[in-house]
Amino acid sequence: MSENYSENQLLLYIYDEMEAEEKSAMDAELQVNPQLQKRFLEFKQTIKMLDELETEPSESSIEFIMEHARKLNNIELVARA
Amino acid sequence: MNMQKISDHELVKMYQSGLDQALEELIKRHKRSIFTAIYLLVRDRSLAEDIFQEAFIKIINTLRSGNYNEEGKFSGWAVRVGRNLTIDYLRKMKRDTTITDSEGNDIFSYLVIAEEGTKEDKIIQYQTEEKIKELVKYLPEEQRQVVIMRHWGNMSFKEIGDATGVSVNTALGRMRYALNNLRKLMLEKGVQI
Repeated sequence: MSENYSENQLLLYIYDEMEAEEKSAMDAELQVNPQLQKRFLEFKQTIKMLDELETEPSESSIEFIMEHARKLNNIELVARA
Repeated sequence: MNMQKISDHELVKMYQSGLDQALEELIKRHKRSIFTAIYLLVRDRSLAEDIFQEAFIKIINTLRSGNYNEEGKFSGWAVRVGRNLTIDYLRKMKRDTTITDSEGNDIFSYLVIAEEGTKEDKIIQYQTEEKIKELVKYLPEEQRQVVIMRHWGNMSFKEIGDATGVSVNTALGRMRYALNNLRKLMLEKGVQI
């Protein structure tokens, strides 16, 4: 297995995009391959940092969107009447 | 009605039948990923709020017009709507999205990390989260896109490959380079990981 191939495979494993059989093989490989373990931990650490980046819009943005949706409903109700 | 256990697919149908509560639940579920994806591209909260609103208006109009063709996940599609609007905006503004911040400064010029135990760290030490946001913005465009689509768009590498016209392996390679670059930048800039 080339280095690139195993790292791409490792990403599929981390993001849970592997078939069950491939996943089991990767589980087994991780048990015995210290280099792969090291890269696994490094990827996981960096991905964990990305998880912490999430931010959210203001309440006023949500209210603006809902107001738009309500207006569309009213227009539709009037059109139907 | 308890909306929490209803799938996105069902919520879309319910909203298309006129139930605003379903839209509210979709926004609640996906606002963070959509907003984060936009914010990481534009680097400006106020502008990100405007594009986020515009993105949801487009989403609403598409759902109501019956033109929504759910081939993939709602979340991936919604993030792509936000991303496309952002890219359109950036193109219009002809902004450099790779090297500089919204004021045109090198992003690292203000990634000042105070040494522990000095007075300065109370004054100038930025939150780790803020530093990493800047690091993500520093990534080359194609790598940042993959990170945003996979991480906040909840798209598979295959879906990313299809959406960007590259193979799965190229999408994976870009993600790998992005993670390696981020890790390297974090270590170089002293961000604790």
